[in-house]
Amino acid sequence: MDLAIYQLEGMVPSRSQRPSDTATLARGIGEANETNSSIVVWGGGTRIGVGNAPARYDIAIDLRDLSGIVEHSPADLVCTVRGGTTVAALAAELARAGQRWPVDVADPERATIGGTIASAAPSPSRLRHQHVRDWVIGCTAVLGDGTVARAGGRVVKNVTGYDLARLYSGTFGTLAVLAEVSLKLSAIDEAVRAFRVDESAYEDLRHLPLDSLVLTTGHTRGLYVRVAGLAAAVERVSRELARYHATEIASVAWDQTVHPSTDAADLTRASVPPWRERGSIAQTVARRLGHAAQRATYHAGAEGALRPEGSARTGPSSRLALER
Amino acid sequence: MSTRTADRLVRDLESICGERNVFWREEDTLVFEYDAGFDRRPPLAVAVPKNTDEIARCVRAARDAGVAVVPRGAGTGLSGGTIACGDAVVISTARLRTIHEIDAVSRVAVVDPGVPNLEVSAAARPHGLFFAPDPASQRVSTIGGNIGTNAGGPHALRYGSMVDHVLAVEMVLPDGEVAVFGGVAPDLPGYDCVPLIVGSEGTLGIVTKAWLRLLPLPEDVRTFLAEFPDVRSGARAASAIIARGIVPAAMEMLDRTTIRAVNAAFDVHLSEDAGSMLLVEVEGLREETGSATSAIVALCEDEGARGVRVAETQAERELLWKARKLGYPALARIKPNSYIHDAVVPRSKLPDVLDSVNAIADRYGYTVANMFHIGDGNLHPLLLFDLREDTIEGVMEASAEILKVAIESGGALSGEHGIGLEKNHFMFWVYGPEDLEAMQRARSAFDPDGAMNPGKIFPGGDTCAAIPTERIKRGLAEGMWI
Repeated sequence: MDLAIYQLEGMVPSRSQRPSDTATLARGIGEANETNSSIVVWGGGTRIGVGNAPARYDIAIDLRDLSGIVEHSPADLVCTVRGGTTVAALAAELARAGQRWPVDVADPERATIGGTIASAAPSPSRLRHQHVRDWVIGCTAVLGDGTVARAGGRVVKNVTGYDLARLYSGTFGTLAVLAEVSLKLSAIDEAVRAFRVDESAYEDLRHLPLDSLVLTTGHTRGLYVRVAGLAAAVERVSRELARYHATEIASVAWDQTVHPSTDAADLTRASVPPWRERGSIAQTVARRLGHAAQRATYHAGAEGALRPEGSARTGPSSRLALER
Repeated sequence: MSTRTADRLVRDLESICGERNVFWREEDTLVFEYDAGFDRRPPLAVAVPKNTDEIARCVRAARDAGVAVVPRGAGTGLSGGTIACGDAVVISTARLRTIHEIDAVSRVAVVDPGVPNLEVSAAARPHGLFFAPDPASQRVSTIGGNIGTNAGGPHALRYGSMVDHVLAVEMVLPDGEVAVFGGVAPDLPGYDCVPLIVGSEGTLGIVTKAWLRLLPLPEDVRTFLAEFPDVRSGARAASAIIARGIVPAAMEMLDRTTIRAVNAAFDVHLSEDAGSMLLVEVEGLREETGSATSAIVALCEDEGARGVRVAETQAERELLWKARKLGYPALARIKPNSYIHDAVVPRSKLPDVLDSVNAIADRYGYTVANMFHIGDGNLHPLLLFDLREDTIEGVMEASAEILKVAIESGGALSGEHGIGLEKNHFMFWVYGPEDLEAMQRARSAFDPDGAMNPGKIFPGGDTCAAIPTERIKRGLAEGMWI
């Protein structure tokens, strides 16, 4: 077993586990707990570098074999999947019923559902669909001592005990490992169009019903928006965008532009209140950090990520908050 | 507890809040004995502090006296969440009712916990914004209480419940410390405990300020009523609409009992020979509302809808919603007492579950009224009875059977009212010991002594055992479990 693939900040674990069912996962975690070993949980690794380096790192638990769809009930607009299922695999299955889990990630072929939730992955379409946790309705989680505990359920409205499934979102595997999650779904949009628009439009765009808004600097510098929904509605909003010198871009170009590169260990991620920092977001973030940003991506409603100029460090991508 | 301890605590609370804002005489605490549900229990005392600092000091005083604390908003809860079990002190947020800020750029309202829900939308409206959660009690129920129960309302169908709309909270912890969780900026470093706190029914602390998400007012709203020959055909239509991937802003069912009561109370002139009605609202861009309306009407007609009445004016729309939101008081005309449920079921199971619910009510001989959020599967069957003739045991037994049907269909005990002390013994119908233990660990992280709102949510405790229905429900929960 090549443990180097689980290397983090120069730390290589002494063991790895690759469970394909919840019971095996739970047993592995329980044994690690008894031997006081520390664990890093891996999905596709697209967000593994976010946050601090682990203080200790004995075991890598790779969840990619804990995958597959447990149940999809199209008539209920909900599904239950194993945590290691990739975002792309789930999307393919749901699309057969005309449905989707409305969370966009940078690398859906690699990113897992569990990792996307656990790392509260920023999605450009948070502007419209809000936080990833708002599309999670239940989970089966393995706690640090190997206990398997469920929370939530498979219904879309629920206040039956604590909402631990949502709590686990954004905790990066430090409270629990998501073995299975139940998700709320939506119908696939009839039409989706993306545009690059004049940066001066930023203020005005607040008043349009957009799916996503992304500001970037660097070689792709620009203001990018996406409109999605009913074809006739998308058509009208697109016409309104024409006022801002909108040029339509293909979905591939959109994907390449709006996601900060996933292998960037030198990214700094910053949270800012929606719409607050206007067109100067990248400069503002950079100023607060005390150096110029070489490339920055800002998702309205999510977070900004920037790569400081001249950075060659391989340290973990840091996080900071500009304002509560 | 000794009288001396109680007396000393009352004096401490009076020195913090002022004598006028502490109640301990029987006649003064009477109105704090109950919520909008069924049970009641007198608190040791009630304190009504004026700000976060006073709340924190009250919590510390209670802790030093070894007395539990129960947070209370407007008292409109339906699951006994604000009833003081075991000689607890009630801390009311009634005097914290300032809207501090409407931030129209980041679309955030910063409000006190005692602000009534509807006032947030009223303050946001001049900015072209609104606050989405709209429980039927919204004219009086407070933001703090809404946070405690993760309140929903009809429009939770499209916009989600409170948990989707609370960005941050300031909270007095059980040890009297004050902490802020979450933020206007998302994904701050560290744990975001907001989704844990929302829906925790006052068991983790007392929320003293909230940052709420506001949404832009929709460009277009369409409201209409579809009339069906019976409940089953209306339920089939609702299931078909969701199955098509159409999620209206709100979709409510009213059955014949409800229609008649609402007609008698309001000037709405609903068709009394209809077996059920769907009250549907769609919101969004004009193209979307037009398209959704046609699709929904077609699906309703496929399932046997006999007619569709569209609200042509804002006044008519408001009348329909007034009838819906004040429908429960209207039902008091039929019988003096009622018991409301809040179970949630998978939406594809609605027609069968409703049949079973109505059959249970029939078997026990109760009139049942169904007026509920059918779009998200959140049932509110209301058992109507007269305590002068009926026994509470019978009502509880029928209720337990209804809950059992909902759980067996893959559902949950509560969609928006909370577990409180009303349904806590039924929690083990849904969760195993490990699941409950995980929740208990989360609670212990905040409240290791269990001093915040004891006896709520978690099954098995005896804190509320003095309440007569608790014994009945506990017996039913254990007896009916196979």
